[in-house]
Amino acid sequence: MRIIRKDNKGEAITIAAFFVLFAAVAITFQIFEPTFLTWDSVTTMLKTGATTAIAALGLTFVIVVSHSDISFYMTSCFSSMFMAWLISLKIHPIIAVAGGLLMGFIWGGISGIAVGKFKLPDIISTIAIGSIAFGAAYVFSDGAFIYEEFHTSGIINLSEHRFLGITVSVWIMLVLYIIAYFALDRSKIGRWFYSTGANKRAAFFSGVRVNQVIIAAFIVSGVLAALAAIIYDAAQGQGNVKIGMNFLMPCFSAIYIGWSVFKKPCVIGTFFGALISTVITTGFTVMSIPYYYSDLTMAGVLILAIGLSKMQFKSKESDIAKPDDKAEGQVAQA
Amino acid sequence: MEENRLELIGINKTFTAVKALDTADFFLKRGEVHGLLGINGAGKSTLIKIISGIYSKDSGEILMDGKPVVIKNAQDAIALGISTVYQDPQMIDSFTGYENIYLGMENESKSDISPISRKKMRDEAKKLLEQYPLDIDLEKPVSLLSAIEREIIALLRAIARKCDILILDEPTSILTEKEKQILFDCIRELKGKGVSIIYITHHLDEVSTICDSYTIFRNGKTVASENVIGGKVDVNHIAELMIGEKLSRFYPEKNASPADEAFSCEGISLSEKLNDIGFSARKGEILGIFGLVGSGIDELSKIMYGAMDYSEGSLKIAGEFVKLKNTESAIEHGIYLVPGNRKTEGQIGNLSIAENITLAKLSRVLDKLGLVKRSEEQKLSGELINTLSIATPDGYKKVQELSGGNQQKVVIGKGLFSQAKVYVFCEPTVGVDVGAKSGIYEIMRGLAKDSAVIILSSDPEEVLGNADRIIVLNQGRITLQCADKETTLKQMLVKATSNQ
Repeated sequence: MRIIRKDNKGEAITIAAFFVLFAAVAITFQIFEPTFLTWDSVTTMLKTGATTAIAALGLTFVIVVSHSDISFYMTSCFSSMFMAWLISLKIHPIIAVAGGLLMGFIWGGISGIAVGKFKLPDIISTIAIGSIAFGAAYVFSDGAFIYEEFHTSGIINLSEHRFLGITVSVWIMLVLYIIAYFALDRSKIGRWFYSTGANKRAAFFSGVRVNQVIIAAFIVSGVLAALAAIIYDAAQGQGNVKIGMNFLMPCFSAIYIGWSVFKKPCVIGTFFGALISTVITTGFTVMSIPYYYSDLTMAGVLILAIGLSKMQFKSKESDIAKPDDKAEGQVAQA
Repeated sequence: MEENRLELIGINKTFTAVKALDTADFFLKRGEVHGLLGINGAGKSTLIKIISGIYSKDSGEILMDGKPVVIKNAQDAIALGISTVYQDPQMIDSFTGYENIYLGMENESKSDISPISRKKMRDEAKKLLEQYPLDIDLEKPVSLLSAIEREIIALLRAIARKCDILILDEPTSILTEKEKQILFDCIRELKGKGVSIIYITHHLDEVSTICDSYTIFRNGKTVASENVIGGKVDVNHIAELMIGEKLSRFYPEKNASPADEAFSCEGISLSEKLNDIGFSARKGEILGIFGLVGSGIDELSKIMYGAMDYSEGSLKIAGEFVKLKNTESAIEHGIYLVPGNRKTEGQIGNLSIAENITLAKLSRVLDKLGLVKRSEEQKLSGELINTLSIATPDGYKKVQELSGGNQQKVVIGKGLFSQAKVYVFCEPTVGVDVGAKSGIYEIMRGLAKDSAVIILSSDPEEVLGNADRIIVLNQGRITLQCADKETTLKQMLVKATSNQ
C-alpha cells in the first residue's frame, strides 16, 4: 500500500535525524576525549543509562495522557528502600524485588486515583504524594545505607550479571522498551492512552474509560521508577534512601527530546532521548568537568526540547484556527 | 413623536463569505423594554456584539439621540452608557456584593494605589440597592448568593457605571418562576428611571409580560418591529415571522419503513433538567426531538449514551431493559452518540482520520496478539471515507485539518465503524456549512434503512425536515409528540417556547 509506505518513510527520516544528532554529540566528546567511544566505555554508558531509560519509559505513559508526574523519583526511593529492607531480612531477592515493585504500584496507584478519579491538579498533588513517600522511605533505616545481605543475596546480579557481554539491566531495559513500543504504538491500549491525552472528553464519548487509563499511566510510572531505583541500588551494592533523587531531570529531558524530534511523546522518542541525555552526562563525567556544568547543560537541553515540542504544537493550533473561523461564520449564517 | 435613544440603520456584517447581518435595522426608544427575537443564527447575537463593541460592523450607521457614534471596542460602548448582562454573569466569587458592583472603579479620579474607602463603597451600594424591590446582603461573597441575587448585582454594576442602555441576554434562563418575577420588578424599576433595555429571549411568553415592543430577526434581516398592545402578543404570529417561508427542498426524501422498536425509554427524570421523558424509536425511521438550548436535549442525548446518570426511569434496547454503566457499555449495546459539541466531545483533532474512526471498536482491527492491524485499519476506514465522501487524500490526515462538515462525518464514521443499531445525533450540523449539511442529512436517511436514528436539535427546520416523527421538549418536559405530517414549524416553535 502506497499510503503506508509514506507513513513509515516519515518515521524513518525522523529516526535518521536522531542518529545524526546522536553522532554529532558523540563525536564532539570523542574529539575531546579519545577513550570515549571504546567498547568498555560504551557498555558502561549503557549500564548507567539503563536506569534513567527505564524510569523515563514509565513517565512517558503519564506524559502521553497529558499529565505530569512529579512523584515517581521520590516514590522510587521508598520502593527501593523497601526492597533493600526485605533483602536485609534474608528474604529471597526475587520476592524482595517483587515487593519493591508492588510498592511502586501502590504509590503510582495513589497518584493515579488522586489525578484520574478525584481530578486533583497533577503537579501539586504528585509533589505532595511523592514527598510523603520520600519521607516514609527513611523509616526502614533512619536514612542510613542498607548493606546487610546485599552481596550474599545475589541481588547484585540484577545489575552486574552479563549476557552476551551486556549487563542484565540493559537487557531488561531493551525488553521493556519493546513491550512498551507494542503496547503504546500498536495495541488497543495505546490508542486509549493517546486518545485520552489528545482529547479526554472525546475519548470518553468514544467508549474509552479515561479515568482508568489515567490511573494505569501513573501505575506504570510508579512501577518502572521503582524498578529503575532497584537496579540502581543493585549496581551500588547498597540501599540508598536518595537513590532516585537524580531521576527527575534526565527523565523529563529524555521524553521532551524525543517529543521535539518525533512530534509527540512516544516510546522510540524517549529511548533516543534517554540515550542522548546519557551520552551528554557521561561525556561530561569522562572529561572531568564539574557535575554542575553537566546539570546546567542538561537543563538547557530540556528547556530547548520543551520549546521545540511546544512550538510544533502551536503551529498546529494556528493551522486549525482557519477552518474554525469559517465554521463560526457558518453558524452565524445558519 | 418619541425620540429614539439608539438607532442602527442598514448594518451589514459578513464572516468569511457568510452574511450574518444583512442591512439590518434596529430602533430603541428611551425608557422602553425592547424584545429581540429570532431562532438560533438569525443574527441577534451578532447585532448585540456590534452594539457592545465586540464586533465591528462592515457598513451601516449607529446613532445615539440622533447623532452618529463610533463604537470600536467594549470601552467605547461602556463610555456611551451601554452595558450587557449575560445569562450567568461572570463575577469574582470571593469578593462581596458591593466589591463586585464597584470592581474596577473603586477610586475614581484618585491614583491606583490610594487606599480604597470601603465604607463609601458600601454606603453607595446600599443606596443603589434600596431603589429595587429586593434585599440582598451585600457584605456576603457573591459565591454564596442565589442566581437571582447575582443577576441583580450584575444589573447594579451596570447602573453604577451610569449605563442607560442595558442589554439582557436571556436573563431568565437559569431562574425559577418566582425569581423571574423579582427580575421583572427590577426591570420595571429601571424602565421608570429612563433606562432603555434590549431584552433577548427565546421564551415568547415573557415578551407579553415585560416588553413594550419587539423586533424579529431572520437570516440576518430585520423582518418586523412591532409594539406590544394591551400586554398581549400573538405567539403564533411571532413564530411565523421567526421561521419565514416553507421548507426548502434541502432534505432527502422521507422513505421510512418503521419496523421493530430499537430503543425506548420511560419516565426518565434528572433533577430539574428532565421530567418524565418517555418515547420509543423504531428501526427504519428517524425520530426528531426539538428543543431550545437549555431545554434538556443535550442531557437527554447523554443519558441515552450512558454518559450521564439520571435519577429515575429506565432504558430499553431492542425490547430488553438495560443499565448503561458507561459509554463503553452503550457502544456494546449498539448505541452511538454523535455528541452536541464536535470539537470538545466528538473528534480527537490531533489523531488521524483512521485512528478516530476505529477508536470506538478497535476489536474489529486487532490481530491475535491484540495489536492493531494497520493495513486492515486503513482498508476499513478507507471504505467509510468513501461511503461518507470525506474529502481527504487518505486516512492519515489529522482530523483537525479537515473542514467542519468533514470533521462531523468522521465522528459519524466512528459510529458506523462500531456497527451501531441506534444512532443518536445531538445538534448534528452546528458549525457545518450549508453544502455539507445536506450531505449529513443524506447520511442520516441512509442510516435509517437498517437502524434507528434519533436527532436532537435546537433547529426546528432541521428536525421537521428530517424526522418521520417529532417530539418537542420544553424545559425538560415533552410538550408535543406526533407524526411529522401532523405538525408545522410554527406549532413546534410555539410548543417549545411557551408555557400555554
